[in-house]
Amino acid sequence: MRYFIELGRTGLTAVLLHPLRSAVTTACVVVLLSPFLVGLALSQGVEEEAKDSIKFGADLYVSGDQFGRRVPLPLEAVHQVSEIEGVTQVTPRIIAGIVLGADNVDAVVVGLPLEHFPSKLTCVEGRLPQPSKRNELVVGTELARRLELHVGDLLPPFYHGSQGDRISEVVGLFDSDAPLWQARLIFTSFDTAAEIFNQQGLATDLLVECRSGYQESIASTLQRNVAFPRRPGEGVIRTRVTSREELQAILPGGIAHRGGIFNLHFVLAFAVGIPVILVTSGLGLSERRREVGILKATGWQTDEVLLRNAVESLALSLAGACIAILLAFAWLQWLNGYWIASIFLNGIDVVPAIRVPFRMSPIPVLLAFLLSFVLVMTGTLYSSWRASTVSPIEAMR
Amino acid sequence: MILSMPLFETHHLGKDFRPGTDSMVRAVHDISLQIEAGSFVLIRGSSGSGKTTLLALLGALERPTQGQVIFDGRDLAQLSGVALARVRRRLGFVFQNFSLIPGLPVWENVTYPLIPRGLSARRRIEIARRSLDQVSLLDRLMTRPSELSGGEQQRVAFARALAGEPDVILADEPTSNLDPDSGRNLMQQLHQSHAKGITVILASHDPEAVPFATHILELEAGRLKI
Repeated sequence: MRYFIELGRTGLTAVLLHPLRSAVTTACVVVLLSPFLVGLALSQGVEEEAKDSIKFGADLYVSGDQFGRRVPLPLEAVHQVSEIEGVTQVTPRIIAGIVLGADNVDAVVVGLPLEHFPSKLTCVEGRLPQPSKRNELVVGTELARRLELHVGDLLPPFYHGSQGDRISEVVGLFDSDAPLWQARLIFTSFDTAAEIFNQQGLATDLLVECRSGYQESIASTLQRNVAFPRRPGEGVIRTRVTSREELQAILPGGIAHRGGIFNLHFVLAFAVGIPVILVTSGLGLSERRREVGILKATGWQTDEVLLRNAVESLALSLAGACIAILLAFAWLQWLNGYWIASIFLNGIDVVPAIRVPFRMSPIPVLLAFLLSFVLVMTGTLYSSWRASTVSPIEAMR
Repeated sequence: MILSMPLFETHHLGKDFRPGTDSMVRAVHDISLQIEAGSFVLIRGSSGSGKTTLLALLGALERPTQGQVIFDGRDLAQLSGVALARVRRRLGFVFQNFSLIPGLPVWENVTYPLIPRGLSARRRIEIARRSLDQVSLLDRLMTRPSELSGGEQQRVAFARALAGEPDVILADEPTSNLDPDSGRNLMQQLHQSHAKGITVILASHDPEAVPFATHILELEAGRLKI
């Protein structure tokens, strides 16, 4: 046992014997692993946030359906759905994408009855829309920054309305710590949203809350028995129901798909990293060969030299992985994913205006150690083996 | 040269570098000799005569291209890498360029060859103290080789050779990079080791070595001069 401990110790001291080589190899590991860890942490953070959004959302999401396409529902549906046994609350909602500003910035307008605004929605500046007033908007900080909007700014009409064009006023900016999903949202009252889009009397969907145990029967009733008449002679609108569980089931698929693409890119980077380490491990190779020659000339066996090199590589890979993990954490926690979040998250700037979501879970951290070890071992194995299999005198030459 | 009780035997020993090419160099050619245990053999010859190569072949640092080296009754060519390493543990080398590991303190350099023997650091420090005391460098235990003079580095290399309690010391031009005083000092130490029963094989053209030698081999163009 002491034999292995002593050999292992020489491997650890060898890290300090070749400071340049050690530093370059560790730097290679850090450069490769840090973006990988940041990407995984961001991906997990976004997934968690999405799960939370679904968890704290409605039990059922009901929209209209015609020929398999989603269409808005008439507001009468609110009353009709409320009548179904087990339904405790029905909230009409308007969600619609718009393009704003000279730079064509994508944004999403969400119209909700004011009493059903998300409880987590708090303003960092200004206030939420008030019941007595119309055409008041609250805007996400990220969107406000991009559009250079401030509280009190007036927005020209989005569209020409049948009842006259209305100017909207920004009355609040909501918290940058709000979930990522809300960063590009514009919240307003249901009525204002209906006016903005000139679609009075319609909701894009209904958020349905159910009593416990009724969700399935309500979904079944909605899909089989409920239809809403359109204008005379235009047929009916059937309902399309999506449950919270269905959304939760869909989410991992989407995340996994994106994660798969990310992993593929990382595998390519990893494959490039091995020859890079191979080259960098050649730094000071002549000195290293000479050292191996001395060891062999003084009685070290080839496998003892290889074991020493393996411990050295293990130490370097551990150091590289630890630094990469700390760097990834610092990058996300204190630098808020500066620059790197803009690569991984769609629509985020180099300096994110929102708090980027991230989560560093144990499995990616363990994976980082494993990848680092594979990377360093594969990259250093050949040069170590070459140096330790030639004759001592040749190695010392 | 035929001696009784051979520790080393060579039969038609030869070493070619870059064999089969136009630039082939025949460093050692058709050398047959026997060296008995406890002798002090001086290998002499001009530069390029093959002294270093012969020493490397005897010390199992090179494999011959022709002939045999038999050490303690075992043909080195037939030994595995592991067995060769074990043979080398019975030998102590002193190289012309010292061959110390720059980043390690003196005591580690002296006892690095002992690590595969599973000795603890404490035991190795004891051995380093003893070996460095023999070469009067006990006060340089924690010093790095770069902080030592050439003579001191060669004494450290000699202490390293002694640390493993070798049967044989093989020294390749150990005094060529030293000033005369340091050279004489090292010769004295080799002589003392020989007096303790260690076989010494010294490759050198230093005339100071001649009085200490029990046997002298003359090499010329890779051949043994009779």
